[in-house]
Amino acid sequence: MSRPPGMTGVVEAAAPTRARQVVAALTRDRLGLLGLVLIALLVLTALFGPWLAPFPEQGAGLADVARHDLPPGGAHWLGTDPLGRDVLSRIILGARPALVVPILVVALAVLIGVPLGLAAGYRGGRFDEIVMRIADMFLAFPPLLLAMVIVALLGPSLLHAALALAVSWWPWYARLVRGLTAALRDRPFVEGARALGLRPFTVLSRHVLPNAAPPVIVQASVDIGTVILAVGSLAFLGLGPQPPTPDWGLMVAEGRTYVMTEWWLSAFPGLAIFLAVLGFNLLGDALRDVLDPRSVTR
Amino acid sequence: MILDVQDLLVRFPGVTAVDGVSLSVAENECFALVGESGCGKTTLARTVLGLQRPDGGTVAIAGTPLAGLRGRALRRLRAQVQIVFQNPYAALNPRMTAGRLVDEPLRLAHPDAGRDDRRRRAEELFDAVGLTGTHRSRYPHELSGGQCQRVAIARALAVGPRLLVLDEPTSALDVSVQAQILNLLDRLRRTRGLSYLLISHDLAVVRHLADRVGVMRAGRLVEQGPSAQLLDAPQHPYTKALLDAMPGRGRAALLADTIEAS
Repeated sequence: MSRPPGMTGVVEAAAPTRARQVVAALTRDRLGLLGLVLIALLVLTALFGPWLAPFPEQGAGLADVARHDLPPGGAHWLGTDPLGRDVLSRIILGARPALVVPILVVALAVLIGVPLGLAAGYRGGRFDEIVMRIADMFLAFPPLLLAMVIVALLGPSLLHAALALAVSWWPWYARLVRGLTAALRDRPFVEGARALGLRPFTVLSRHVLPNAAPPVIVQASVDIGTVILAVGSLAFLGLGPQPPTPDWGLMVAEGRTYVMTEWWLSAFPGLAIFLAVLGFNLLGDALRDVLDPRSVTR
Repeated sequence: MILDVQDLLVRFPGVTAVDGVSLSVAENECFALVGESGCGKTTLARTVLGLQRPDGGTVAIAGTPLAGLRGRALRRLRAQVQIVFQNPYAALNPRMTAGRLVDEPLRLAHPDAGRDDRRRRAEELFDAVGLTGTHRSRYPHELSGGQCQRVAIARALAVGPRLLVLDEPTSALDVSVQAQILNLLDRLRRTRGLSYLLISHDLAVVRHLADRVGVMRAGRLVEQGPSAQLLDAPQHPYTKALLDAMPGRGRAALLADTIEAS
């Protein structure tokens, strides 16, 4: 699992960006728009899956052995699996965990990493050293391996996989935010805020964090895509959700045995993963351009 | 004395930034620090603001030593001394409007004041620095350099300081705007009884604002005295060399004219 290089540049005197301006700018960027569309499709599928799926009860795991191993076509657009379950229905029902789990993982990582990074970058000194060395220790483990160890200890389940990934993900945010904070700390407007007599918490939350946020938002968007892959990998290894849960990574794994004869079992869930990851990566790249004030033309 | 600095010592790894400096600023006085870049002026200013801990000596604000103060007591004393930075754009949070930038310190200084009360105070401050209500909703990048500097001054004044540290307050501005800001600073000193610790490279600015001048070199205060006397008849050879090298000699008359006119 490779990560894009972390962005360390401090955002220059950022113009205030309103959500509407960001969305407007995103829709002007064709690839960003494609990312938005893919994510919107994913969100809609996750929300309305049970109503969209042609065979919702099969999607949830009900077998119909008589209609097993049908190729794509007819009533089953994407074919059926060896238990006769509709592949399309299972992909549609798999959208919810595929979306919720990575968002949960990244949110948890941000929740742990950002405050630690803010505190470390602002206070400096020994506290900074300790936090960053702990972060280094976590980073020294390959994230998937760390997640595997944690899941092996706690037992395989989607929740444990999410927890495990969040634990291995927070140091990236701590590190990113620490760098941004350390650079912002010496800026006149932050020193001025301290000189006013504002409490450190207020200085951080009102003056430092809003100016450090854009790179974090970009990173989070790209990371959601990466975590979708990681969750898929864990599921593929049998360390995530267990059958008969409709999970994309698990479906790829289940179809592996039949991949030479029944390619649709693995190919379509794989395609779903691909499109979801692509959506978040494109959105992340577009956000990077939109939120980086150096590239803002106004 | 509103500010009393005794034998101040600030060390950074490898350098002694401030090396045994003693100076004081009286009520309603403007004391100017001049010296080349890296001579320790800014470090001295940051120490006075309580942003830098001294390694020796004392800083007292209105008779209360900064040393040993922590938390709430330190924050309260800090309100007595505020700073106006050189680059007004860098001095304002780019994500806050002028109105919010001034409201924030007002909340701090008057925690019990209601919204209407704070609004009235903000209007008074905007008026005092020569801005109008239309500027309140603007972000710093929508304001000119001079307007930003006025917002920065209003923000500093909002907590009711007695001493303003002016760190090259006009050197990032156009000449015509410089004169306006100098006028404003002059007026604020008179009307509000403020004291100034001015840091400047610009002789014209020093001559216009300062009552007394101190010359810093390599962390030490080599000479200090009344500004007219020191600027016209410097005693220390370094002061002579520095004054010859400083900008603003010929401009002093020009700036004075602009100030008269405006």
